Amino acid sequence: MKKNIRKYSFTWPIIFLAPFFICFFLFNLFPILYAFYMSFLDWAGYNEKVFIGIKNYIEIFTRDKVFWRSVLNTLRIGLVGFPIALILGLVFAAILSNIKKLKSFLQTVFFLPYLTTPVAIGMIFVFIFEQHIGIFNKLIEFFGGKAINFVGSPFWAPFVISFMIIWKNTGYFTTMYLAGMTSVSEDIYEAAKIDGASALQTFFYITLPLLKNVTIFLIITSTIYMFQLFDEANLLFTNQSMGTVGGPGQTSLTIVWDFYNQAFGANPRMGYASAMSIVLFFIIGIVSMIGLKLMNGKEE
Amino acid sequence: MKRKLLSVLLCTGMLASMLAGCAATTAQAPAEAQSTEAEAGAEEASSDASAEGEVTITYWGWDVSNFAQPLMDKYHELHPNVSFEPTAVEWGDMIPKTQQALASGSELPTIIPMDLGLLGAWKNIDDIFVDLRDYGIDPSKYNQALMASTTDDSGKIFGLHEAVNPAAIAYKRDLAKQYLGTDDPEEIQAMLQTYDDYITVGQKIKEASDGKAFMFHSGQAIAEWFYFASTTPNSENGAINATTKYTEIMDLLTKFRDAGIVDSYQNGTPEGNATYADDSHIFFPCPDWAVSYYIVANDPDGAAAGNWGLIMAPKGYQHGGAAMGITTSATDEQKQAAYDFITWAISSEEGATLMKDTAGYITHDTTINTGDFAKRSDEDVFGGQDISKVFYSDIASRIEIASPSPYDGDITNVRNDVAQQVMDDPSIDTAAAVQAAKDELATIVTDTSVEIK
Amino acid sequence: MKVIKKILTWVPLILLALVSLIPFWLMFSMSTYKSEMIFQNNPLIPSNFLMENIKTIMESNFVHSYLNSLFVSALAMVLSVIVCSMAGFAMTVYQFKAKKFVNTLIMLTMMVPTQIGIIGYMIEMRNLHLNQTLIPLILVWIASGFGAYWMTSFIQSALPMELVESARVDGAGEIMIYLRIAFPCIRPGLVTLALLQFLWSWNSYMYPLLFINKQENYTIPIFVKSLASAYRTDYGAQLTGLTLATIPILIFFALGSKTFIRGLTAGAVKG
Repeated sequence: MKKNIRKYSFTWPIIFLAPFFICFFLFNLFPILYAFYMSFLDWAGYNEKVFIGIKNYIEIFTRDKVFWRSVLNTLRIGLVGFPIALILGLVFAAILSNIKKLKSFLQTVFFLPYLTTPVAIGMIFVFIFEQHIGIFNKLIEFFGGKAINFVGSPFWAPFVISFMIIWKNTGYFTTMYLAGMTSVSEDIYEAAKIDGASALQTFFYITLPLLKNVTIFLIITSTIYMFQLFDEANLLFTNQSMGTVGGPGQTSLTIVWDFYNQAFGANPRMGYASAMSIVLFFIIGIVSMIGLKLMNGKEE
Repeated sequence: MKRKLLSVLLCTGMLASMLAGCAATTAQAPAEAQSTEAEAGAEEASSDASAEGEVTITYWGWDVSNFAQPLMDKYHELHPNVSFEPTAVEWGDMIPKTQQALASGSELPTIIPMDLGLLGAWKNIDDIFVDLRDYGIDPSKYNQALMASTTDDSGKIFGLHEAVNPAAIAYKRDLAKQYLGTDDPEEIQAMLQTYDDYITVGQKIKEASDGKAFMFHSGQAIAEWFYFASTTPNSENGAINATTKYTEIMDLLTKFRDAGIVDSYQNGTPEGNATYADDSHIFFPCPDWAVSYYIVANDPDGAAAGNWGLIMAPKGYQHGGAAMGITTSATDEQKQAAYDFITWAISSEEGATLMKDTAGYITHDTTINTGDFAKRSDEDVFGGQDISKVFYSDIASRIEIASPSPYDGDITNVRNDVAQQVMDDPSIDTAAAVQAAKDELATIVTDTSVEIK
Repeated sequence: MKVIKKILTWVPLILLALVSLIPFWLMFSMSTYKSEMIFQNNPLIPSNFLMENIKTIMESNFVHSYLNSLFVSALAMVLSVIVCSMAGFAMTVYQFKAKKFVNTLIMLTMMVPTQIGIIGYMIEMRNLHLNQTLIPLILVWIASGFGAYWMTSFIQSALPMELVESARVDGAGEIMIYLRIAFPCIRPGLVTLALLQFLWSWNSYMYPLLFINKQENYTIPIFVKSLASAYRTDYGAQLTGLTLATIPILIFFALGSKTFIRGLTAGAVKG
C-alpha cells in the first residue's frame, strides 16, 4: 500500500511532468541562463569575449537613456492599446451575450484579426494609415479633417501600433469574456431577475465580479506580451523600402527592438544586449508577480 | 466533429513531413545528375583553376532572382563542377543574419553582397572577408571611386562592386512642356544647373499649374539625392560628422520645402511610387536602375509613349549598388571558385553582357565598358534620348563617393526619418531638423565610444 | 425603447465586424493587383492580376516554404499539446508534496520572455548541430508555459476524479488513464491549445528570421519578406503569399471554432 501511494505521489507525477520541465529547461530557460552569463561580457559576436563584470548593468542603470526610453515607449503603446482592447472586449462580449442571431458567426468574425500574421498586419496597416490614399485618411477628409501622415509621424506612429493591438486583440478578448460569461450559471441570472435587478445591475453586480479571474488572466498575459512587443512595431516600419530603427523619432522603439538593434545591428553588442534582456526578464518577473499576488489574493 | 479535426490536423502534419521529405529528395536528384554531367564536362573547362573539383558556392542576398540567379545558372553551365546555393535574404536583414551567424558560430555563405549604404558596417568586420589582392585582382581597371569604397585603411580590398550606378534626374516630358514650355533635355538641362535653379524652376511650375503640380513627389527622395551627392565623410577620427552632413542636406531640403515645390509622399512606398504615373509630379531623382524598376514599372503607359527625359544633377553621384565579398570561413576551393565567378560576372565580356541583359547593371570594369557596351536598349522610354551617354560617360566619370563609415546605415535611416518630419511639419527649420537628427542618431547608434559632432 | 436597444446592439456589432474584416478584404483585394498598380487604382476593388501573382510566388519558393511552415507548426502543435497536457494531467490527478511549488513554477514559466534568450538558444542549437535545420523552430514552442497553465486549469474543471479512481479500480495503468480517460474528456481544451499553438508558430517571425539561412528551409513570413529585390518590393506577390498563408488558419479555425470556443469557456471557469 505504501509503495502504491509513493507511486501516485512521486513516480507518476515526475513522469508526467518531466517532459515539460526538461523541454522548458533545455529550450527556454537555458538560453536565458546563457544570456545571464553573456551579460557580463563585452562581446560583439565576432571578436574575443572580454569579461567586464557588472559594467553592462551599470551602464543600463546610469547612462543608457535609450533603454529607459524604450521602456516608456513600450508602456505607452501597451497602456493605450491593451486597456482599450480589454474594455471593448468586455463590451462586445456583453452585447454578444444578449443576442441569439448570428452570435457564433460574429464571434468568429471578431476573432479573425487574432489569426492574421503580423507580417500581413504590418503591411496592411501601413496602407490603411497612409497619408494620401490610405482609407483612414480618406475617412478623415470625408468628415472635413486634414490628412495626417500617421506612420511617418513621431507622435502618431505609436498610436498606430496601439491601434494594431486593439484591432488584433479585441476579438480575442471578446471570446475570452464571452467564455467567462457563459460559464456563469443561468440560475444566478434567474435569481437576479426574480429579485427585480435590471440588465445593467446584473452586469455590474453579478457578471463583472465573476469575470475578475478572466480579467486578471488577460491582464497578466497581455502585460507579458506587451513587454515583448517587437513584431508589430518592427514590421510596421521595415516593410517600407527604408525603415528606421524604432520608427519616426524612435518613438516606436520597443524594449525588444532596442535589444535586437543592440545585438544584431551594424555595431553589435551582444553582451550589452544580453544584460538588457536580463533586466527585461526581471521587469516582467516583478510585474507578473504582482499580478499573481492579485490573482491568488482574490481566490483566498 | 472534434475527432475529425484532430485527425485532420495530425494528417496534415504527417503529410507535410512526408512532402517535405519528398521535396528534399527531388531537390537532390538533379544535383546528382549534374555531378555526372560535371565529370563529363570537366575536361572542356580545364583551363580554370576552379574547374578541378566539385565545389558549391553559397550566397545570401536580396537580389537573387534578377541578378544572381541568371549569372549563376550560366556559370554553372560553363563550369558544371561549380554549383550555387543562393538564399534570398531581405536587404535589411543581411547584417542581423550575419551577426547571428558569427555570434552562434554558424556557417557564413561564401559570397556576401554588401550594399553601398552599409559598406562601412561591413568594413568594420572586414576580417570576415578575404583580401581580393591575394587572388590577383587588378584594381586599376575598375572605377576608382568604387574601388576606394571597398578598400580599407591597410589597403586590403574586401569587396568588388557589381556595377556602376550613376544617378541623374528624370522628368515627364508632357508636363515639362505644359508648365515649362519645352520638353527638350538640353533646354531643361540648361535651366537646371544649380540647386537654386531647381527652386526657381519649381516655383515656375507651381505658378503655372495653380499649385497643383509639384516638382518632386517626396522630401525623402530629394534628401536621399542630396545625401549621396554630398562628399562630406560621415565619420572621421572616431566622430560622426552629423552637424556638417545633416546641415548640408536639411538646408537644401527646407529651402525646397519652403518654396512649396516638394510634395509630402514617403519615398519608395507604393503610394509614393504611384506618383510616377500621375500628372502632378514631374521630376524624380533617377539612378540608372530606376529606369526599369521605377519608371517602366510604375508608368508603363508613359514609358511606352517615350514620355520621359533625363538630365544631370548638379553633382555626379552613385546611388545604390553593391559590392561582393568572399568570406574567409569558406574553403580554399570555394574562395577560388567564388573569386573566379565574381570576376567572370564583372570582368568578362560574357558575364558583364549577361549581367547587363538580365539585371540591367553595367559593369565598372573600364576595359569591358568601352564604346557601345553600355548602350541601353530602353532609350525609347526617353523618346530616343541618348541616356546611355548621360549615365555612363557624362555622369559615371564624375562620380564621387563619400568614404564609407560604420554608421552609414543609421545616418541614412535618420536622414530619411527626419526628412519626412521636415515635410510634415513646416515649422521645423534647418537647425531644428539637424538637432532632431542628432538626437535620433544618439538613440540608435549602439557604439558608445563614438562622438556625435 | 426596443428600437434603441436594437440600434445600440447592432451598430457597434456591425462596426466591429467591418473593422475586423476590412483589412482582410484589403489583403485579398490588393493581392489581385500588379504591385505597381495597387495605388493607381482603388485597392478596395479587386483587379485581375491574382493568377500572375500566384505564378510569381510559385516560381519562387512558395510551396516549399508553405510545407516548411506546415511541418514546423504541426509538429510544434502536436508536441506542445502532448507535453503540456501531460503536465496538466499530473497537476490534477496526483497529490504530491511540491505541488504548490510546481504550480508557481508553471506560472513563472508562463512569464519567461523566451525571445530574449535567442542568442543563447542559437549557440545551443549550433552545438547540437541543429542550426541548419527546422528543428530549432519547433523545440522552442514545446514547453509552453501558457499551455501548461491552461491545461492545468482546464483538466481540473473537465476531468472528474471519480472517473480516474474507478479506472484505477478497474486496473487501468496511468498512461492508459491519460490516453483513454483524460484525453476524451479534455478534447475541447486540447483543440483550443492546439489551435493557439499552431497559430503562434505559424505566425512566428523573429525565430525564423534569425535562424534560417537556407532558402529550402524558409517559412512563410520569411519567404514573403524575401520577395523584395534590391530596388523593387513586390507587394502584390507578398500579399498573395500572405492571403494563401491565412487560408489554412481560417480552415482550422472554421472547423474547430465551436470546439475551440467551448474549450475557452471551460478553461475560463478556472482561468
